[in-house]
Amino acid sequence: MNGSTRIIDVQAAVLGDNDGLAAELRGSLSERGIFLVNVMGSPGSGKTSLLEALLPLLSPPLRPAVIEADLDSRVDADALEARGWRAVQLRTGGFCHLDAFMTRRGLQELGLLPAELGVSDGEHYPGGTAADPIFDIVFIENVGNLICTAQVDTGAHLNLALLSVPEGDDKPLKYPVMFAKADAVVVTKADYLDRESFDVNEVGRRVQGIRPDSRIFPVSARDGSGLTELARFLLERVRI
Amino acid sequence: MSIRYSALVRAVLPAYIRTVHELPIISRVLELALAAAPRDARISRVNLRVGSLCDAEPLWLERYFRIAARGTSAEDAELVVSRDGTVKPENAARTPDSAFGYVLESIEVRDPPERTTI
Repeated sequence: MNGSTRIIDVQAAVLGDNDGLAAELRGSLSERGIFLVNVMGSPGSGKTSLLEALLPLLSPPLRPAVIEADLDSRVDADALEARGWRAVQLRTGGFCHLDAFMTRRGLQELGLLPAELGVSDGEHYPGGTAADPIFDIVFIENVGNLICTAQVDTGAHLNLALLSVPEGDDKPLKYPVMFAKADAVVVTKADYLDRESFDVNEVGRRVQGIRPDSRIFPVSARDGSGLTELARFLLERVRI
Repeated sequence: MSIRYSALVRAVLPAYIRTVHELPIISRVLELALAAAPRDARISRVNLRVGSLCDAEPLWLERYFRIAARGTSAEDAELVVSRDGTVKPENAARTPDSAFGYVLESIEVRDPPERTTI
C-alpha cells in the first residue's frame, strides 16, 4: 500500500549560505580597512598581466596581495611572486568560479583571517594583527570565465570585468549578467585597438545600457596606457 | 565546496564537463531538499525557481540532479525548474537580486505506508 503524498513548502535561497558568508566577509574586511577587488574575465583576457602592471602603481601607498583562482596549477601566483608580490593560489578543482567559502580560504592563507575559526574572533593573525593587517587591498583573480563568475558573490567590495580587444566589442550583448555585476569594465590590450575593429565607444554605450553607473577603462599592460586612470579610480574607491 | 559535490565530480563526471556552475547549484538544491524531507519519506518532486537572469540551463540542472540524487531518498524525484522570464537582460542592473537567484520553493514527498499489525 502506497503512503500519502504531500507538498512541503521550503522557500530556501539556494546560494543563501554563500551570500551570508560573503556579506560577513565584506563587513569584517571593511572594519579592518581591507578592500577586496574581484577581477573577472575570459581566459587570456589579461587578468594576470593587468595585475603585474597595476600593482606597482598602487604600492605605495597601498599594500596589495592577490588570491589567484584556477582549475589547476599555480602559474599565475608564481608569476606575481616572481615580481615580489604576495600571492596565494587556490586550485578550484571542478569549480568554474570562486565563491565566498573559497575567498575565505584565500584570505586565511594570506593570514588575514584566522585559519580555523570564524571571521572576526580577535585571534592573532599571521598577516599582521586583526586590527592592523599587513595588506590593505586584496585582488581576487577569478577563474577565467564570463558566465559563472558573475553569478556568485565572493565577498568583494568591487567587481571588475575585463574585456580584451581581441575578444570583440559585442561581449556586453552576449554576457549581460557579467556587465551588470561589474562596477567597472577594463578594456585590456588596448594597444591592439589599431589592428582590430573594436569600438571602445560602442562598448561604453553597450555597457552603460546595462549598467548606467559603470566606468570604462581602456588600458594596455604592454605600453602602460590607461593604467594611471585605473589606479586612481581604485585609490578613490579604497578611500571611500 | 560541499563534500557531496567534491565526491560527485571526482567519482562520476569527466573533467570536460566539471566546469559548469549548474553542478554545485544542483548539489546544494539536493542538500536542501533532503534536509527538508521527513525521515523515511521519499521525495517525488523538487520545485526549483530560477531567476530570469541566471545563466543556468534547465536541461543540465535536470541531468545533474538525476546523477547527484542517486542513492538518496530523492533518486526517483522529478526536478521541476520554473524560470521567471519577466526581466530583459538590458534591464539587468535595475533588477532585484532575486533575478540572479535560485530558490528551492517546495518538495513533494511520499510518506512510507503505514504498517498494519495483525
